[in-house]
Amino acid sequence: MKEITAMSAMKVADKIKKRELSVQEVVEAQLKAIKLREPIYNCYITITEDKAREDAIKVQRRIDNGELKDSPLAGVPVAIKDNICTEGVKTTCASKMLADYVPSYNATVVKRLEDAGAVLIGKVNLDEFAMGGTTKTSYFGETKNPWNIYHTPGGSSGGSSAAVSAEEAFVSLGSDTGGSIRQPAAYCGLVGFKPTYGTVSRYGLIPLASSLDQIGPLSRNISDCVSVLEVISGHDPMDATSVKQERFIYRQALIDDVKNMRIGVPKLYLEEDLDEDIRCCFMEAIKTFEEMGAKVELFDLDEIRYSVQAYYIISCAEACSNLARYDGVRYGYRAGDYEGLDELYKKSRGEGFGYEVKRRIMLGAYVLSSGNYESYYNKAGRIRSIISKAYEEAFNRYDVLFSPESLSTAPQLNEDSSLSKRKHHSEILNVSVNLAGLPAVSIPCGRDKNGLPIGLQIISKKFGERSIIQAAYAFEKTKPYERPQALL
Amino acid sequence: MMNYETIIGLEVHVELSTESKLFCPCSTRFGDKPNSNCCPVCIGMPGVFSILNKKAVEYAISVGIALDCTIVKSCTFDRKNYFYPDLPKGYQISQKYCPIAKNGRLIIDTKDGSKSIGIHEMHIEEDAGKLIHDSDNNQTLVDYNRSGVPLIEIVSEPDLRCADEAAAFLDKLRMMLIYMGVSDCKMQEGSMRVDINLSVRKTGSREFGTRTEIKNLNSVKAITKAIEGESKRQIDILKAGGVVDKETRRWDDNKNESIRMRTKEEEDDYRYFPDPDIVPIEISDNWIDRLRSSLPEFRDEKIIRYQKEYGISKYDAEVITSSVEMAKLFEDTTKLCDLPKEAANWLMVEGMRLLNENNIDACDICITPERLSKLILMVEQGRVNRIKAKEVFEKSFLENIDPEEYVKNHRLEMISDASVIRLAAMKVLEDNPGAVSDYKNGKKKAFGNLVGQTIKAMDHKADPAIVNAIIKELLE
Amino acid sequence: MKLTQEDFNKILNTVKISLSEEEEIKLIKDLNQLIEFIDTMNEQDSENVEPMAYIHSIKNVYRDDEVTDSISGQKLHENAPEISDDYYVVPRIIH
Ligand SMILES: [Mg+2]
Ligand SMILES: [Zn+2]
Repeated sequence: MKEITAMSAMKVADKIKKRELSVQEVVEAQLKAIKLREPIYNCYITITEDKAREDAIKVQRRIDNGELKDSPLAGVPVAIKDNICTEGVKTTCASKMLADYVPSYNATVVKRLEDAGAVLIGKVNLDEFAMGGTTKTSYFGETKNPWNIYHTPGGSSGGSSAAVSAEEAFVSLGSDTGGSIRQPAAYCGLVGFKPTYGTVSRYGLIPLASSLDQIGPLSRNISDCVSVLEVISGHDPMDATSVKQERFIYRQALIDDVKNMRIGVPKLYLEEDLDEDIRCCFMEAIKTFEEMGAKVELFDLDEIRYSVQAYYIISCAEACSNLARYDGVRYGYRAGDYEGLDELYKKSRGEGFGYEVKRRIMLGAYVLSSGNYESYYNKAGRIRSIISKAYEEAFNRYDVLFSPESLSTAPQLNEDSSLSKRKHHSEILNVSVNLAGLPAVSIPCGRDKNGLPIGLQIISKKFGERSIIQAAYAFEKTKPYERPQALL
Repeated sequence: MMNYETIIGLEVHVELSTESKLFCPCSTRFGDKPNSNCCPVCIGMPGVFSILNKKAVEYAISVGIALDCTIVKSCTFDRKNYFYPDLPKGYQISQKYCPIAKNGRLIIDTKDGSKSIGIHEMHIEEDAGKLIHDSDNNQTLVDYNRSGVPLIEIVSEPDLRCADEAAAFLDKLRMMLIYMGVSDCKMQEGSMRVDINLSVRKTGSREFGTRTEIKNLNSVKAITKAIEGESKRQIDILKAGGVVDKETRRWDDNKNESIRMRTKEEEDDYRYFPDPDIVPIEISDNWIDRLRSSLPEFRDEKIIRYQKEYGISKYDAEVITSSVEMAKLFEDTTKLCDLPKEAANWLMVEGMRLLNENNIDACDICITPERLSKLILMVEQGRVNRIKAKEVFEKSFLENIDPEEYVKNHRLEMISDASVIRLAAMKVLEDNPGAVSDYKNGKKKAFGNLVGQTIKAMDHKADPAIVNAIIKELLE
Repeated sequence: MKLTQEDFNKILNTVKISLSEEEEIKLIKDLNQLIEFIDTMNEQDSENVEPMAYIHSIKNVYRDDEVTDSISGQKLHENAPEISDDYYVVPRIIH
């Protein structure tokens, strides 16, 4: 069993293609691994065992009929973050509010994955409504980091990262509003890709902040990541913000060559209170790239200094409005006991939402309230313009930008870091990428003294996915994937 | 004695008659089973997005052009955030920061002549669902079939001064929109709803008084009463030395008075911001020109043209153009038979009578231009008597009946057979010896009487010319 | 404190959320801390910069005015807390 689930997605897909493995065998192995490890890691909110078994038979039939020859994911079990809608399968956003919500529609990414023959194995944990970086705000309990169960797997896509890391899924989908794919990928030693805004349809992604959210893959290597990315990217008429390009082809960028690649490193990040182990790994990675023939340069990117402030304002304003529909009238949690309409609203929302959700809704309402619109919301929009422009200028000089993915490795689950200044610093490079709509990846680049993984963030200009993939692929050749030693 | 002047501005919500909703492909049909024309988008389920209906945008631009507005080069949609059960997303998608059209005007007819009423702005927004308050079970029921139906909101400048002017404004606007085919403007079905902004001031004063807003009126009668009632209420307050509060009120038709809904302090903070899920609209001059050139001929233009081109009176032209269906029927019929005065006459006299008597709308008229022109020509050619023709008109006006066939089946054709007429005439002369002797004694009036009686005896089917000739022959 | 109890109550009422006493105490404190933090962005000069609301310059995305079959009401209702004769039900709203 371990032999199967420890394989990369591409490897297992290849074996299925060559008839060395059947889809049923792979799915059974996956379900077995999930049953064995779920009690430890708590990656899943819903395991779609029956559906996965049925789908395995259907996909095998399609493969036998020669339908899925060109699909790199035929028969591969995937986990989907539980804020992405799945028809007939509970989609909870890890909230009491939607604990019993069953969508009547599939997200476009889910449809695309299923069309490509991927098998949905379950819905994975997250911070409530994707608000957080630890999964600790989940109504269904926290997920544990497979490298060390006393540490967080990161968040908000913590179930997505832990599941792939713990070999409870071959690949997964997460969503990234301010680092929610990249940070958990870094904490779990994975590849986590946040695509250019608009290249992956958001249809069916329960929104946190509409102008920042983007769905992307988490995987154990960059080739697996590219396969998922190609399947899920492309124009969707159901999402007006989706870019009008039918298909995105990335696999040609899987080349081991970064000669003369121009790499910029924003100084700002290295000046901050970076963990020493991370600084070491990061500098080593830069050296590796230089040795491979890339040109690395430190530069000033001070314009992004107020990213986190702008991010808080924009994301909370949008969230406040996006979460207004949970009112206990048409679906979702309704309080058991209320007197009149106003109390129905207040109690349903008061009891259905956790503290972090309430905090962000309140901040969002504050920055939009009359008299504050110009000084907060519009000001943040202006800062967003400045950040976006600064990045644009940087990409006139550099193909990609490098930074550590975070200032520290995965914190302990019992550590309270919600409002620390350090956390705000740590978020600058993550959230500025979302504010500008850029593509970025986090790839593993080493481990700290406690053995916890460290992530390297690679950012490129809009639609610059290929440069990122090329850099990541070349680096991966020098530093192949490591599975957590603690894994059973 | 101090005199007061009433200042009125109207906000008119008009449902556009698109087939599908503003942001989703659900039907806009009225009167269907509750919550049957709904989908995840218009019921506000999470994770689904609004995709804009192009037709609604084009309708809005066209109305903007017709109202002489400046059409913006580009605009976005904004979210108006508040909680109410008829609002499924917790926000209404509207246009706050940049309405699609601004600075227009509408010319209305008042008793003192025509008057230009400024249009402050016009924007696109989505309608809300319908609430039914069920006091028996102490609950409110919600139907989202209307949720997401496209609306335009037309905001006038405070240029109106009395209920009559407001009524004239609405009438003019309604006609215009119906002529354009962008809305049926049926107030009883809620496809046209009006908010009134009203203040009063001393006559001659230049400053505006404090205004109140009366929400959601859906009949011209209610609007007239509300304006008169609210105006009086405010004047009474001022006369008694009080102050008018800025507040939102609603009109209670039963109590015949406006009632406070909320004060300014209780007003919701709508926290508007641009909807990030809907990309901006960009309107090229080309697009505007194309829509401008496809605007229909409006009523005022028709009234002038009818007088000039068809030689009918202004009054007749006004009556015929009072509905777009009638005007079209008139024009198409005239095209076929080239007898505009006949066509106008039929529609004016018989047509209007039938509409009134049967309490139906012009859109329910059954007669086609082909059939009406056929009937007119049959009369003109003496194939059917005018009185019989009325019966034929009535039938085909109200039902799907061909005049030619009806005349044939009911044997209504004019009788010109001299021998048949002579028989009838002889009988009339025989039965009316008095009239015959009157005629012979020089009372020429008796002749007409005998002709009339003969025609009547032949059930109005006799050819009057032949009757005339035969009576004359028989008397001499 | 930038956010007074009165402002707080007003905003809380617009977002329709009930809070426990502890939550309320913590939230006012947290919000004031957050507001203090986001206010630091005013150090950034942003005059003559247009606010950015959309990532791409995508414009004019429309659908044609066509009706496609609605997902059956039944299916939508399956998630509803209370339904009566095809209507969603809330406590009676009294004017
Ligand atoms: Mg409005
Ligand atoms: Zn719909």
